[in-house]
Amino acid sequence: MDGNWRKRGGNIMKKFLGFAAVVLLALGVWYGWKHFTKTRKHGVSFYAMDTPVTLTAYGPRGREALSRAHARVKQIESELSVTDPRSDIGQLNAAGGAPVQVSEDTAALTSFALHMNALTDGAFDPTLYPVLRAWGFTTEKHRVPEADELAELLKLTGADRVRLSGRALRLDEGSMLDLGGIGKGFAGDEALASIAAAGVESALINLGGNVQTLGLRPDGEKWRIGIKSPGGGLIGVLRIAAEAVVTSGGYERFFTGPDGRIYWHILDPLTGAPARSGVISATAVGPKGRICDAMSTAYFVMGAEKAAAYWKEHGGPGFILLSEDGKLWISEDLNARFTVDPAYAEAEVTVVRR
Amino acid sequence: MKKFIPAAVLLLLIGWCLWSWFAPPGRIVEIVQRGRVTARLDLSRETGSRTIDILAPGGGLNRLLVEKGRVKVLCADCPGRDCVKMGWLRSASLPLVCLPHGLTVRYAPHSEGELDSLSQ
Repeated sequence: MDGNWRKRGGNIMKKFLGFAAVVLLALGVWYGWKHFTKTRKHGVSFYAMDTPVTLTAYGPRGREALSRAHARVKQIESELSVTDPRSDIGQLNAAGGAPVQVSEDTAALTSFALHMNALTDGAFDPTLYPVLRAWGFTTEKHRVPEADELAELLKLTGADRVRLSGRALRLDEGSMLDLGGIGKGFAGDEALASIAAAGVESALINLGGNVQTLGLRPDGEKWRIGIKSPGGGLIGVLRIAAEAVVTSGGYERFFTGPDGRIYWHILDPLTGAPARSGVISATAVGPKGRICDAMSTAYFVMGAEKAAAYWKEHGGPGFILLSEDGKLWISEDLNARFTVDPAYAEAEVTVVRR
Repeated sequence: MKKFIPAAVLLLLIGWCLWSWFAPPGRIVEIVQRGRVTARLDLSRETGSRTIDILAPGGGLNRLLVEKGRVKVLCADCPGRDCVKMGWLRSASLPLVCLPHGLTVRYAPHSEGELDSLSQ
């Protein structure tokens, strides 16, 4: 009797252990599969807005999200392109002062550009295209225009040359609008919105050097974004959550003039010449790509002292500025999560506090 | 004894799956020419410093500098030399690209650089 009971007890034990092993195995596989799909990386690279674009999304809905984002970026490119005569901006610039009905995107972004122009006291100016063209930055046939020529062209610039009423946009004759300075930031915002709407929680996009992120990395850590130095290496590495990091530097597009000087494509709206504020790289970091895009240019044009004063007064995107004498200026909101590259270990760092 | 063989195989299989799911990403770099992967390099196994010349099918040269853990285009005879200006390959989301020569140097899928991306 006792022996039988012991035998039956042993059998039950064996069955239980077998069952437990199967359950554990199933749990392990389920967990592994969940982890795999959650961190699965989807990526797409293409050319848009005259620049390489890389979109990366993590998780099971990544692929669908990226195809939506890709389509959205291409749509924005077709609306804003300054070189495509069929785009809103192409038609507007060729309209000779006549009003043009534009898309909702173009109208909204024009209104935003005018707002940023007023906010930065003209440091960000979307009407400099005629001047940029005179320097040859639009055709790669570079030249140094005479002062008289610049003075004439500057008469065509200024936010008051642009009139927006609903979706009807009109320019003064000879004036031109170029939303390229904020177009990439806007496209980034819209691409991330498309990705988020598809149900993705973790994504990173890079539009020609503008970095924008959604959520955290799939491992729950902050994203590590390198800030490129004009010398070719890094200024440092910034850790960010869901934010945009946009850098403006004279090293992106430039040429050496017959006088041996370097001329870059970021122009001072007051002089029409390359902005020489002492800042050679300006990075803006904040929640919106379009604001960071405008402000990185504005900080570059303003120079370190004015940029710091602006930020103290208005807030807005944090900054990392590198001046030509090798000094770094960092707003306090970024200081704790910015690691200076060893190449700048000796640099004098000014932390700007509000 | 025969009973244990399937269990052991199963365990090994599970172990392999878990390893491939959780293993830290490597430093494998792919050289892509006109959309086709023509070579792979494991940067973590490089010792010292060497150069690799890559000839474009239609003519043109890109010279890569490969060191332990990093790679860059050292020089090239393309018009803009944008590939050279990009410096070291730092991030999986920002490959080194030479448009005129149809060349891309990128981290392989599941490999990643020290940075998630580069702002420039």
